[in-house]
Amino acid sequence: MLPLSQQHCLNHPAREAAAQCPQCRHFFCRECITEHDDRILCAVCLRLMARKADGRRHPLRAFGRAALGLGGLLTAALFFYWIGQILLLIPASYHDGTLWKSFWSSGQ
Amino acid sequence: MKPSNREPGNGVFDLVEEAVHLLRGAPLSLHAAYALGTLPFVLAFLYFWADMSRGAFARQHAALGAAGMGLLFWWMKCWQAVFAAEVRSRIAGRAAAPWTLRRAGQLALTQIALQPSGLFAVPFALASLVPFAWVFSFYQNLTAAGGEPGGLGDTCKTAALQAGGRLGQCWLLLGVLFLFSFLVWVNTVLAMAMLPDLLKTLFGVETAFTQAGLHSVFNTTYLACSFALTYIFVDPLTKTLFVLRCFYAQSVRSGDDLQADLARLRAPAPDSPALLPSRP
Repeated sequence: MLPLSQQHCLNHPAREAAAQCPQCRHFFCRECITEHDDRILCAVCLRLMARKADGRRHPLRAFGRAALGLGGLLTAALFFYWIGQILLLIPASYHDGTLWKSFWSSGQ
Repeated sequence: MKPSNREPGNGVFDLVEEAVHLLRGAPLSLHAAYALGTLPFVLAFLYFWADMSRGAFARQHAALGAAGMGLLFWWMKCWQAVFAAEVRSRIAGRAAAPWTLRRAGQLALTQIALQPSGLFAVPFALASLVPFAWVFSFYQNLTAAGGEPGGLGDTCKTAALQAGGRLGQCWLLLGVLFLFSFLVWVNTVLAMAMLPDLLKTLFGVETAFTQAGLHSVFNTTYLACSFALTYIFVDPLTKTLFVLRCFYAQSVRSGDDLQADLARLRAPAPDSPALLPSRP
């Protein structure tokens, strides 16, 4: 890719580029680029960001969020339930270490 | 231009060094935020483990215990994301953004909606080995990006994007973390085994552990305790490392690392020669 000094504005090909937009990676002149929230952005990317921020909320969005949260909670509970079931399946002699006692006594 | 390994964020050991430095210089409130989330979960998990392995009526209340563990897991992940957000603001050299109700709600939703799947996905990825670095990195990035502004989709997208980059570095980082965790675990096991005997020898304190002898060591709860303690010791470092990884990867576009460096240069050094009294 050519360096910034040899690039031209995407919207005004006759003008030299002043900066590269970090979002869309295109080069722009001073007029087409702006600063927003300590970042250099082109007008199109800034407009897209603003539109995304002001996006209308779907009425079912709250329901979807609650379902996601409940689903996540159930997934976590299911995982720990299975851990509990595995622990219940393991013999008590293994849990309390008496299993090894028979090995020591047979060794002696 | 091809990035050199000397750029910040590229070298694994540079990252580790920076993460350790950050944690050592962090205020007590940062560690308290981590402990507030993790300690209740770890203590409850050990109780759950002991109950399920020895409790006479464990089968009857297994479901209720599991639901409680699920809630505490959510609680832990939320506080870990708060910890990661504070670490990130320290790295960026900016004051932490205020915790509004909206931001806290977004964080809570992100953590409960996405993190529980990691309980199944990470062991599965470990068993199949190949995608492990990506999967592990993705769930760590969810914590690292959890406190950032943006919705569920944005956080998920950021985590996936950062997990896909620099996979070689991620594998090396996981290797270093595994080795470090193993050494910490060995030290923890030895300390747990020796502490009761030391108490008895030096102060004459008789405990249940000294009376039980080797039985106190050869049981599954002891093993679970050693792993839980290792997790508490190592996990803050893991979280900080993945926050650093995300920060440097995102800085390529945002320039946050340059802004942090500039902010550091602008701030007056505490031991600046100009502030020292001039010698006669």
